[in-house]
Amino acid sequence: MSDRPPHEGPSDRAPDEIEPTLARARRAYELARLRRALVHALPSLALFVVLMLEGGARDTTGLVASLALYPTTVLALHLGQGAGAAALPALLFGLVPFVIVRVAESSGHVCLGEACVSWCLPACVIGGLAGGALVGARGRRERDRLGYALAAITLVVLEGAVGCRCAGHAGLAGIVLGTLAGTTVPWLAWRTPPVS
Amino acid sequence: MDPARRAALTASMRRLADGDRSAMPELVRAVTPPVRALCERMLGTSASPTADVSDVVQEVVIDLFRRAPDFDRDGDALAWALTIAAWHCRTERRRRGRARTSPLELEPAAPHVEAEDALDDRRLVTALEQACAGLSDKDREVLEAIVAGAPLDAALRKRKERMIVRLRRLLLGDAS
Repeated sequence: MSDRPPHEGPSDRAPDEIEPTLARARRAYELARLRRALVHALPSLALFVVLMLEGGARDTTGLVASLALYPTTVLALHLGQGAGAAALPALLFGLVPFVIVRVAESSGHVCLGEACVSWCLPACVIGGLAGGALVGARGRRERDRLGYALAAITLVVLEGAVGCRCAGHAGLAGIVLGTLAGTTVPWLAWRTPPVS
Repeated sequence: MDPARRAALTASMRRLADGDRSAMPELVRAVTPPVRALCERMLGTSASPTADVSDVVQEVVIDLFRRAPDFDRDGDALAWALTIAAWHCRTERRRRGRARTSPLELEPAAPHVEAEDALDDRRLVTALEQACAGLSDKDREVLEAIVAGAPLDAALRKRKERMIVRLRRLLLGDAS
């Protein structure tokens, strides 16, 4: 006959009775999370596919950035908590700078006399601001804000970078600075406790 | 499990499902006792060495953690855990039913024993009952003494040898 009532827990159970189970359970859990992340991150390959269909095989920056979306999304989903919560929304937010830059690219240049300016670089900054603002607004609901911010900003910048290749390195700098700046304004609202 | 601990268990499972690994040790400690209690009830005690039940409990806990990322955040963790535990216990019962080798267990066929095995068991029991019914009263007395483990004197040992010969003829005689 057991000395313990049936449903009373062994909160003081010897650690060596739990450790072997815990170690195997941990491995099973991490593998399950990884398998799930590998599947759920597949939509992040969409930009890469679009780029390839457009014949962008020679666009190294765009290819690298679009391919990097997948492992970054897998990592965020695998880690979970704030980063996991950021992954799929950030993929959508990142489409904003991507689309803005694409529209700007199709508009060509603005010429004043003999001076012509491409819309690409301003569009990268504006797109980054817009993407960052969405990241910041969504982040108010997160408890793990640091994990959320790191994952979301990284993904938005990578997606924006695919579009901002039209402005070269300046475009990359523009999307990074724009996203960071766009996140900063809602960040001031993050100083209040998260919405439960 | 009292409601407060049940709610705490569900909160821990939600945290784990979201990726908070720090919830693991407390979850293992909280979920193991009710799972063990269910497994001991479903797998029985007399025919089940304690080690077998512990193995099943461990497999259940590992399976729970494997499925944790898919846990329904609106669900109850204890009910979910016990459902998984019950599935593992039924699987273990089926496995034991297939591994069973002794034909002389006379309890009613359990549902998990395959129909063909159950039919063979009943045929064997019937054959034994018919053979025993063909024994004389004295032979049956000797058989009962043997089954009861009573010590046999020289006279009983002689009767035992003759009883075995007659029982063998009864069992094999119809077949020939």
